Amino acid sequence: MIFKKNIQQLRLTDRELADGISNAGQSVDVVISESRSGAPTLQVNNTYIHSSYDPVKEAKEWLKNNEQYIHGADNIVVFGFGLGFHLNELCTSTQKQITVFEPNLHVLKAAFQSQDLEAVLSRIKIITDVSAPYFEDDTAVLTLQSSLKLTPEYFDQVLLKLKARDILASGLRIMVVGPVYGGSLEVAKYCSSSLINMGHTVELVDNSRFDDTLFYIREITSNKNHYDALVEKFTALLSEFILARCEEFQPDIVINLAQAPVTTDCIERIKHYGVKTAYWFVEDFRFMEYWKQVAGSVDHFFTIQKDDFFEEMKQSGLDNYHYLPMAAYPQVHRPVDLSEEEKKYYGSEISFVGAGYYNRKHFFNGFIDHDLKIWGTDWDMHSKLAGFIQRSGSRVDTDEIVRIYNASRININLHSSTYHKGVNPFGDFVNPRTFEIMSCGGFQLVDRRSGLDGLFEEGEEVVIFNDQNDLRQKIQHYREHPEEAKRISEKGRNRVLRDHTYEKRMQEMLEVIVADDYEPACWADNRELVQDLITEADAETEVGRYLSQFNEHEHIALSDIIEKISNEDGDLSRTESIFMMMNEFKG
Amino acid sequence: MSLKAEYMRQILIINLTRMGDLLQTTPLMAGIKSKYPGSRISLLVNSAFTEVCRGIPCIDDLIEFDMKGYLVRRMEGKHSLVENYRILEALVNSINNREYDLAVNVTHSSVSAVLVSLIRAKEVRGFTISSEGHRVIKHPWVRYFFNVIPNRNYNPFHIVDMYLKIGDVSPVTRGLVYDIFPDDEERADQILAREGIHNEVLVGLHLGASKDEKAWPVSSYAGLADMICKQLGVKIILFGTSSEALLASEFEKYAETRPVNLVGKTGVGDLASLLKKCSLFISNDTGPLHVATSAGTTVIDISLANVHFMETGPFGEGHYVLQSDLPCSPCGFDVQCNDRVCNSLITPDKVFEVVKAALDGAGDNIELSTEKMEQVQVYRSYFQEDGYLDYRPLIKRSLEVNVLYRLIYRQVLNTESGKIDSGTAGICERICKDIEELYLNESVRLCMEVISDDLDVLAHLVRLTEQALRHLRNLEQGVSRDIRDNKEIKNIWKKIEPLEDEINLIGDTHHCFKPLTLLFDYSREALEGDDLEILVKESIEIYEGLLIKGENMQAIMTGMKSVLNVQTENSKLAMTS
Repeated sequence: MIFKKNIQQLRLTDRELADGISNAGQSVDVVISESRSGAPTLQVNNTYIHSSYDPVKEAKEWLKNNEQYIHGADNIVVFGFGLGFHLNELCTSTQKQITVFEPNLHVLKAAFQSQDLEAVLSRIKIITDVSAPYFEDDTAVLTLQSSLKLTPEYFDQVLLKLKARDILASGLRIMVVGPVYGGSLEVAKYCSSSLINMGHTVELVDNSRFDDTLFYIREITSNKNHYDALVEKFTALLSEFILARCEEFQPDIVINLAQAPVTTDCIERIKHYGVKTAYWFVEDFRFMEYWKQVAGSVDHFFTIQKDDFFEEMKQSGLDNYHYLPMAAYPQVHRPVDLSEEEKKYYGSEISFVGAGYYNRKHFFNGFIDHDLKIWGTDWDMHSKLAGFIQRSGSRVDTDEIVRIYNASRININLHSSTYHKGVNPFGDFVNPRTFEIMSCGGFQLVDRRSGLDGLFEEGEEVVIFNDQNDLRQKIQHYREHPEEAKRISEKGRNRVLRDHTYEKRMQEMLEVIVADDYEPACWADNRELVQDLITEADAETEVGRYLSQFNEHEHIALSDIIEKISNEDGDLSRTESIFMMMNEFKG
Repeated sequence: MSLKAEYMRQILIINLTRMGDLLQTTPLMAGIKSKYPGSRISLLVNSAFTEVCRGIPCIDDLIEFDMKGYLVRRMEGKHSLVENYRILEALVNSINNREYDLAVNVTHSSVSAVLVSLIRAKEVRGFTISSEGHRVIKHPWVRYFFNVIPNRNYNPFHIVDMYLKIGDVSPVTRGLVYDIFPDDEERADQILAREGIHNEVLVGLHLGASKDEKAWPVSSYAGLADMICKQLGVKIILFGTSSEALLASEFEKYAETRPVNLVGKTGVGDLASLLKKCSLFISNDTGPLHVATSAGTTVIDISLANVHFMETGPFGEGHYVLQSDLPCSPCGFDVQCNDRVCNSLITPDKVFEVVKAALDGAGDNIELSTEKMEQVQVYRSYFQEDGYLDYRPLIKRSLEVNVLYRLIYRQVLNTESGKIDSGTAGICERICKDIEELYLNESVRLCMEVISDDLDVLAHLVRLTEQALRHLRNLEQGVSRDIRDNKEIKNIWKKIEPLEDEINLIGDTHHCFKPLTLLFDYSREALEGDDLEILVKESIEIYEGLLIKGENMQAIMTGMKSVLNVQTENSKLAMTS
């Protein structure tokens, strides 16, 4: 009875966890017994988690011992759930936000079975993995020592994450290095803008300004050896540019996007400054093999594929890889109001936006009996599809793509393949288009990819097709049930906004980076603690007040102040002028 | 708008430069004291050069700032941002102890520009920043000074005279001002006595320069010293700072004569006093060169590389300058010369010719043969009728077009805002007489041909200016109406913009008019605020300024052309009769 009541209450706030606890079997290692005082107590692996005499009294003492920490904090984190005696005491003594970390579902099940947790569950959030919520203010970490001993690695990891969030909250200096051209160019821009939105100071090294030169190298020679040598030298030159920017900007972290023109030597030299390096390989490892050179040289290598790729990297002796799927940038990928003319121009019953890869050329022949529009380049204008290819296969820019996603009743998303005739049955990674269509609020039918598991709930947030026939049926179905399509699109969009934005990805990436023995770069010495500076200046003075604007940063240097001044319009204050004068003293 | 004389009580001069530049502001300070009796001058200086200020009269308050110390402090990174901020804040506060009627910034650095913007002053002249942080050059003559950097070959004014014009004061001294105190004299006597010198004729040499390329080779100085000693029997004294001790050792290796080596052994006061006792001082472009002129000692300046002696040479009557006669001399500020021909063209024997004449007191009547002085020109400084310094070439050679323009600009710029109407003929006759005296006649005729062609371009520039002025006057009416027709205003602006572009284009394609167009451009850049009525009014003033300068230039050029034509006709007649 108690268990059911507890589970129902948890289901209101965390359905997934409620199901997890319900489905957890009984463990022989987790034993509830009666304490001397009559209250239940808990043993895990023959260790008492609570007192075998009086767990309630013990919980009161626990609270007393922790009161000073609770008092000074804005948020409270507790490691270990046990049977919840200490949580009960905690909830009655404070109204602050409480988060409890407990990885053992059997322990939670035991608590749910033996205790009425109504008061506790209405106040706390339970987390069972290492994902940590974001705390803006001071957080006190309290521990149930006996639980801590059961899974010390788990709590260490959570602690690291919490520390990482602390570091990130103060804002870092991050340099994002983009490619010369290609799909990751946009991704670099989205990453950079997201990091700015998150309060970091960002420098985007935009290498696309060199694309003409790179293309020109192709024209210069037909000799492949010569071409390769020229590209190598060109990449080495761009790497020097990146290094020069790095020395100027003095970042804490450098994030390279796929195809960024960085040599391993360049990465080594950046690391030499104590700067943490990351690489987001938003590529298919089966086609792009340059990961073999780059993955080992950076501190952290992020990928959009796991399983087979991870296995291969493991075989290569690497251990710095992390899965980081693609995402959407909702400020760009958003619902837009279209005029009637635009709806007509960009809209169709089904549409596809993307390049004419081998599988797509075959696959879409099966839909020429539909109101179909195909947008994008590299399509065969002499094929049967010619009449469906818009603007003779010319390039479509992002703004127009967003309009197409908004205007189409059904957006087809077929991942590319250079040798399948339709859906790649072994496709794993999820392309950006999947997230972007959803972020636009568009309705999407996407081909099955193993990577979709865990990202979206099939049938609720996304509809997946397995082959041409399946897609034809699904088109028919949603044509007849537009309200269903609308509901799925809305849910899909909400899921993207919640979990799959570039801001989320950047947060995940940065947490990984700073949780790994993070030490500031060599030039961090040039920066000073904002709080110390304000205290030194006296917060009530002109300069003290001025410096408090930088409160959201932990450290600042004169260059940060100058950057802020130059980015703002209007008259200079006296303080700003004095800082400008200071900046003019150059050796 | 400048304040009236009686309101000029507190004046701040910001001079964060070096010793020579400080001395070169002394006539400005004297001019201010003379024009505004009872005014107080506060001088902000780099503390590294405080010592020289002791001998500079007219300073009522000296504010020092250790520029190098502050820079080192910043670079060391040992002090917090707030500490470093407080130092600058304290400097600003100490300057702002009083409110100034006028602040003149004669330093052209970005540090000083920001600093000036923080000073409480009713009027500011110099390089500064606007309230929004953009560069602003305040006062027409400061803008002129900045124009000199790209247009130096057309500049007729010495920096001292430009400072006088920035201060809007007349020259009251005919040289730099530096007071030598009795204790300086005593120390100088003691030094000389210690060196066993009593009544000998002394010639001072300064071997170094702020940059290597500006320094005449030590071996050349040594060769010259030997000639002077052997042939004239005078005593050589080497001057210099302690950092130039190596040059002195090098000199002693090359020279047979044994000089009195005072390198690194003199303060500014002793130096001035010792230089005063010298009959002649030979130097590159250095601070001691200016100390020597202020002490009244004749100077021979060996002007090399990018040193433009017309701007920064010895200031005062009767000093000599040697410069190579190469077409690239002096080189531009941005030139990295890998073949310093100018350096090798000036040989010890050529300088020796000038030394002999200078010690003889030959003045302008120095006899220098063109052959002997091959590819080197010697100039002698003198004050023109306008009261400003000029340098006269002593060897008759070809006139260069830019030199002719320099003479024209001198008249045009001296006239400031007034129109030359009466007296144009007199001015032209005088210029023509001078150039015919100083330059080879054939070259004068060739230059005049070039100028005749340029006159058409100038006429076009004047027409464009008149057109723009007409539009601006319409605009003035438009913006003064109670209800403005914004569309019409925009339309008129649109008509002015291409005219401005064309005016600037003339400056770019006909470099002789670049000073006119660049000054015009700087003036427009200095327009501030967003009150349309004021902006239009000030724009009209800027265009009127350009128009007057253009018309005056036309008048002078046309006048000179006719004077020279008449002279040519007369000489032809004389020949035929």
